[in-house]
Amino acid sequence: MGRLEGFAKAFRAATLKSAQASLSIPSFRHSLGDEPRPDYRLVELTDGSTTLVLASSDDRPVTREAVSRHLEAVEEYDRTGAWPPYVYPGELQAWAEVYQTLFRRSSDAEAVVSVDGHDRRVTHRSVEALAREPIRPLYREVVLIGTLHLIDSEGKRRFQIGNKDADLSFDLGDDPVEVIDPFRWRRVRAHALWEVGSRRGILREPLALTEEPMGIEVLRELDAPDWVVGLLERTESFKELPAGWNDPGSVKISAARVEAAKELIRRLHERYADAIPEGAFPSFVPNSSGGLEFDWEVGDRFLNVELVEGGYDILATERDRDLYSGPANQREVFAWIQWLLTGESPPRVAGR
Amino acid sequence: MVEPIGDDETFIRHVHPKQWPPDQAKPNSGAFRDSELSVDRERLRSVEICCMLRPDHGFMRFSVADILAIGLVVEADPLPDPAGAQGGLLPDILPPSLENNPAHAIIRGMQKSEAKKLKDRAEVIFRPGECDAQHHAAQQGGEAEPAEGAAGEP
Repeated sequence: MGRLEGFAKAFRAATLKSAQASLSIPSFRHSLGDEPRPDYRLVELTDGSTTLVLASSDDRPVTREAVSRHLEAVEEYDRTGAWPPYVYPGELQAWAEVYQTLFRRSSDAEAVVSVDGHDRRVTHRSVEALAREPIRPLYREVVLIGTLHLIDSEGKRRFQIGNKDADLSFDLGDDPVEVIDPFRWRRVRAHALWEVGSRRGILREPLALTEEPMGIEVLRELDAPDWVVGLLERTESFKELPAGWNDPGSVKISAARVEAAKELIRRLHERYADAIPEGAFPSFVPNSSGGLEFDWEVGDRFLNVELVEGGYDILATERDRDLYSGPANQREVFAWIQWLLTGESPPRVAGR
Repeated sequence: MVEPIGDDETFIRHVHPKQWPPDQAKPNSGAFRDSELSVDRERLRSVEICCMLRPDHGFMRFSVADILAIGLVVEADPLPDPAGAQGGLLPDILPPSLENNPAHAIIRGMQKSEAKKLKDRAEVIFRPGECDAQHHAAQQGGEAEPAEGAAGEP
């Protein structure tokens, strides 16, 4: 009996130790910068193993944010039948994968997810909806000059080309390795489509040896009309403004902030392309503090959204009456945009 | 001696071209937001001089009444400081520049809400690039009128 209890204890410890899950969302991971991915692990098994309790491995804001974003997305889907606009490509599917791992094929299984004292029941039906949603990838057309440093001819049949800024993985497809082998450890030029937020690339032309300097050049953003591309290009040009561009104290616009602004433009277009007439789309401008912001006016409603360190700072007014001025997260920004475009009741903002 | 600002004065704000989206009638409100917003007193420095100094910029005009209406205060702030080491160099006879600017004034306390209101009240004198065209037209003996009620940073 003692040995049996010992085995049960060891089994329980090993199960807890081995059950870990990192939330792998390509675009989300892209926006994390140097931060590690949110990580969750099994911390408790109840008697009879009918309940598993998973908890976040740390208490970083991003770890909590990942869960609260997810819960609000599920709530919105249950309420409206549509996923909210702020979800990253792959975010829904990554959560579906987490639940499917836990639920297996049991259609009666449910999960209770808690964050900040707020519980949410996620059913098998919700998980099916998460998994059903297709990922809509966004692509950039790029020229990557790098070293072909890996060829995997056995496993996933792929090869990788990288430099200090990027490392893209390409499918070898049905091509024999001999096609790629002459480029091994050589500097090559890859004209490719890069799936934003991931390391996946698709060659548009055959590889070529080159002596060009290492780097990656974005030729254009795809899957967007010309006027959106124009906005993206104008936003990209803010990277070139030197310190002191507007007055002696004006701050250089960081590349990370420009990328964040471009990402927001893409999301706005994805979500609201049909609702916004051409020419009425907001246009980012730089400010002297190093921020990027836009004004957007629809009827009597006005919204200023500024990208600042760690998030957003917004002003919302209606008929010249201030409704809100202060910090906001991405969900709140989209809620205010929804208000701007539809005139629905203004969103509640934490701390307001 | 700093000339006090009169109740009927108007001001010019220089707007960097990047802060004026090309397809929009007015610049972004961020162009009016600064803890110390620099402006030119139009009575002491004309828009033509502003154009000469920053031909690529846009220029907006507003009045003392506009500033008071949104609860802000404007102060004369001539450059260089008349009390400073360079102050006695008779700025009136030196060529106009961004550094030699007896017309310089500042508006303090401008936040997002005030900047939006000032943008709404301000009128466009020139959009970015327009005053350069006007300058060329004037040089060729032509005449180009500033935009009516249309297109700031000293």
